[in-house]
Amino acid sequence: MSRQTWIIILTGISMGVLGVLLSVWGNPENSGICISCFMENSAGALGLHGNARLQYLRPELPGFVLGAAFSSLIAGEFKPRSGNSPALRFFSGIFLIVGCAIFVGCPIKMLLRLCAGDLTAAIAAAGLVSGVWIGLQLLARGVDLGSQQKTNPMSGFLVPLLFALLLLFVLVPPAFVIASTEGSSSRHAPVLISLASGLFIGVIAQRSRFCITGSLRDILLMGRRAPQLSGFAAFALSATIASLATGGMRVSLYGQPGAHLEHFWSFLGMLLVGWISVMIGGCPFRQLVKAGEGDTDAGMAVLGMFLGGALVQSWGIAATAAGVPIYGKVAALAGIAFSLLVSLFLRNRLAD
Amino acid sequence: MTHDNLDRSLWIAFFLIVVAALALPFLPLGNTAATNATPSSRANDQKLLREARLLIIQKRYESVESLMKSQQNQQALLKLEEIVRSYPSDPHAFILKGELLASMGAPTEAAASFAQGVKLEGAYVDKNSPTSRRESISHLVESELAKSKSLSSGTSPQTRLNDIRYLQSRLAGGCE
Repeated sequence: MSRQTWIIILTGISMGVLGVLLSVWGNPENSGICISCFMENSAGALGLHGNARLQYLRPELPGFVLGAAFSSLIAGEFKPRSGNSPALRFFSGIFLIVGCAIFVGCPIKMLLRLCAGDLTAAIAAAGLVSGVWIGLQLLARGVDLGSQQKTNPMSGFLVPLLFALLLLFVLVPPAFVIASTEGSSSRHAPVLISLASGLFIGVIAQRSRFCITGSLRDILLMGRRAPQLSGFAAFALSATIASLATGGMRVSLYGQPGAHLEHFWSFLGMLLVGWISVMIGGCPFRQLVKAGEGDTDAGMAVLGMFLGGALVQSWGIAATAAGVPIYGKVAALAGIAFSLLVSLFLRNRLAD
Repeated sequence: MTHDNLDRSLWIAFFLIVVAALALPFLPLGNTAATNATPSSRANDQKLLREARLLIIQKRYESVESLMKSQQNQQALLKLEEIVRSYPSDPHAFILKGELLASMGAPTEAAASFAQGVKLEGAYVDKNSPTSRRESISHLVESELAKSKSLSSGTSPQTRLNDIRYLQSRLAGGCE
């Protein structure tokens, strides 16, 4: 096995184990790592939405971005770059979080839920694979958001600097940053442990280019030859073992933490996430890592994800254990309509 | 990056501005009245709201609580119905109704009432909330799940199980 494959495996193991352990150390059940939940919590902490039970500036987020920035700067891979569809990427970021909010979790949390025995995540996994497959088919038929060019260093540093500011807010909280005293956001691992975990994962994910939807894309394209398959398998295996070892494993369709039983909408939510992720080149986590590497396109998606985190709470889009609200269903369909329009208008038909 | 005097001046100005911005929160130069008027008191506002809520609960449900203590369950239920008509989005009425119905041997209706209350306010399943009713809700869920296991799976009414499963999921934790 190549050195790169070993790094991918190490990343998979680290994310699987830390994803479970962060819950043991205090994060909500099955939410040790969840980019969409962290976005919603952090948007709330900055006063962007008013749900008093979902406000906490999660230290893992600046950890991921700054870890990736640090790693890419050391390795000489920090390359400020940009494309030509910033608004589309911004809206894609919003709809990524909409899709996640319908399922209640990002692709990483989906895998963590599945590895903890939450069978409701299985249908969402089918949705994610379907979305990645649709995205791949459309990419092969010429849908392209445009190529990237080298850009000025200032642009590449802006999003990492924003997250450095958020890190400062985590370490020295100003008075305007809110922290929930009740609800799932009041539950969190110790700040320094969360931050260290985030930084470590940011560093190794930057080195390995690990991404859940990217792995699925490669597996669909190359089958068993895909190097990302080993990372994906390592994640699933280590998360399952960690769940068993920590007593978090409970195989059931019912009574799962933060899960609802509207399977069709879980499927559709994750389909949307898979589809958009393939269009913009990575799942929500990968967007954070790429933004840390100076990719301003990913930076636009991350800013969209932040706004999405606020909107899903403010507009009553996010699903809960009670089910998917009507606005959530409308938003999921709007996301699919958006993806269809992007596919129609950004298709290079000469590629056929 | 420092090609000429303008570049150097811009960098110096930049560093001075950054130092000033960093130092400003620690200097006693700010207009404290203006600072106090900013959203800095959001956390305090939320705390005040929680305290106000507890006082409202205490005042609004005093009569219900006393009826419950004196075992006058039917009267307490009627009083709760009256409160629900006046304040349909107050979750506390549904939680108290759930407790009453459970004690009166109507678990299906109790589960529906608990579920409605928790949907309106999740704090009722939080361990550390001052309004927590986690114990009575989990007691009902456990007994109902045990009952549904003892029956053959096809005989349990779906509507009854939906509320129990929702409460079970909320008791399990996770994100909301």
